[in-house]
Amino acid sequence: MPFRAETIRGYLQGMHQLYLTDPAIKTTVPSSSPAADIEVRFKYNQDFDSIYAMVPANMSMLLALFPAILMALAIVREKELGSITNLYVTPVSRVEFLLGKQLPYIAVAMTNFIVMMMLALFVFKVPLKGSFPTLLAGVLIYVTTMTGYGMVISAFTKTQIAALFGTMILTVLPATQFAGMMTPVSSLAAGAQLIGRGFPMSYFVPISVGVFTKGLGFADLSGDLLALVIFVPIFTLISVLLPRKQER
Amino acid sequence: MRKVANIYWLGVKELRSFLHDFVLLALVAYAFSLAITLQARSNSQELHNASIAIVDEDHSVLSRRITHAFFPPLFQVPKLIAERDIIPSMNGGKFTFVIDIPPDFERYVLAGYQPGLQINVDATAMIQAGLGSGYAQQIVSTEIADFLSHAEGVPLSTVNLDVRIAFNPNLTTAWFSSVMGIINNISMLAIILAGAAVVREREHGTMDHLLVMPLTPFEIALSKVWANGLVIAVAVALSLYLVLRMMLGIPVAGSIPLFMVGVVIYLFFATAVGIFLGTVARSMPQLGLLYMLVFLPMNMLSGSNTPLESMPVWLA
Repeated sequence: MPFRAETIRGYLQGMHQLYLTDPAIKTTVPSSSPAADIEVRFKYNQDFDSIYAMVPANMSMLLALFPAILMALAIVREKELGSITNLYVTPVSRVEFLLGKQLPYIAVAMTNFIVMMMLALFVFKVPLKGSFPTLLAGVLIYVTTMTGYGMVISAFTKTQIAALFGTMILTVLPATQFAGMMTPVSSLAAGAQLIGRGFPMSYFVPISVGVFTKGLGFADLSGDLLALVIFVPIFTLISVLLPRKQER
Repeated sequence: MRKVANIYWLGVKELRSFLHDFVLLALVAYAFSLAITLQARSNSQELHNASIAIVDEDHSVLSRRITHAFFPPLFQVPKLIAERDIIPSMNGGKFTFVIDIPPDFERYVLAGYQPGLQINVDATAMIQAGLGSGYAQQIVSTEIADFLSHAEGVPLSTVNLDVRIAFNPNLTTAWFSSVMGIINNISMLAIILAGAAVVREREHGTMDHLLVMPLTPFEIALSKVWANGLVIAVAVALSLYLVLRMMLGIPVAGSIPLFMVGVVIYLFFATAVGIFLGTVARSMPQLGLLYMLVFLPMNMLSGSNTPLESMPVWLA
């Protein structure tokens, strides 16, 4: 666990410094006092308590996983079990079919969000410092993009196993590693950064953490909101255009 | 003997249906190759390329020395910004660190007034903020001490601390994250494949066919365990030899066969969890949700993110 060793090394060096200067201060004249007073200020989270960053970040992760998986399965399920043929013979267009599938899952995800927010506020006691309407708008766009992400995956897969595993592997890794949950996207290596930038969660983590812990409002986050909005037509377009009405 | 044959043939059936699904095969290949490589090389768990800005209100030799003391790979090249930009840029998450060097800093340092210098840290970027604030403090104080002593490289302390890091002397994250990536993939795949194999039979109605045949549930379950376990064990072995050793050049200090024995034993557990979830879940979406409730805590609490001894007693 290298980052832990690194943290321990930091503490060790700090203690070492302290032990060396301590007797020096006690015995000799304070000539060895530091030349400047370096003040480290932890902004947004003065105690440097991980819960204020992790709760909003985890919310974004769960809001990525659940809608994407449910959405992908909902579509592939009809393909695998064959009930999609019923839809082929009805005058329902592809867009209508997909949007009709998507709407309930957006509603489910929004309910999900409300529950998680209650948990954050009342169980974890993480205060909501910023603008709630901004967060709500962000969540709505975000879950729309994530259900769209699930739709795209469903376009490539035929079996539910592949859809479940595919959504998992294509969501969990970017979500936990490359979307700014642990490390800002700008600090990642090139390949990881590319994946991070192409994954909607990278734009929602700043919104979630920003509203909860940084106390931001609409003006500060409009860039991220816009980036999320752009994903919606892209994902919808891919999933409408990509799969043909085949396999009958 | 009959039992063994049954288990064998049922397992072969399982393997066939797995090998038939090309998308699934491609996904497994991706999970054990590209995904591992990306994860190992992502620098997501270390201080790397941290974004930093400096507000230089002093414009002195010392302030410039401090500015130049931050450089890649630990930090990005510092951007010079104005004091009024600190809050908007940190709000926007553009910089994790902003160092504010006040006016007349150098003059006060030389006069021995102990002027203040502020390092603002975005404490929502947990790993980076934790590691980086220590580094930043050290870099600044070394730079000031060097400046005052007028000679670089003078030993600062009377006793030198020699830190030796065992097992991974350069703290290369890839050595750790790649293996953890493989282990996470094992749990993820084993539970999903085994669980989904059960649910699929149920949804297609073939589970009823199996149950009316002269087969015991034990045979059905065990065949799924060995078939899915075999697929994953092969993928893990390939990934260890080809991806870890050859592509990433990560030295495997111990015995790979021993690791594989551990993997196989673990697979029995993980596939069994999958089958259990498969019997509880009535449909694939249910399995997906159940799976998350089981896998995410399992993963978070497994020690691949945080060592067990650091967790609250009731969690570890």
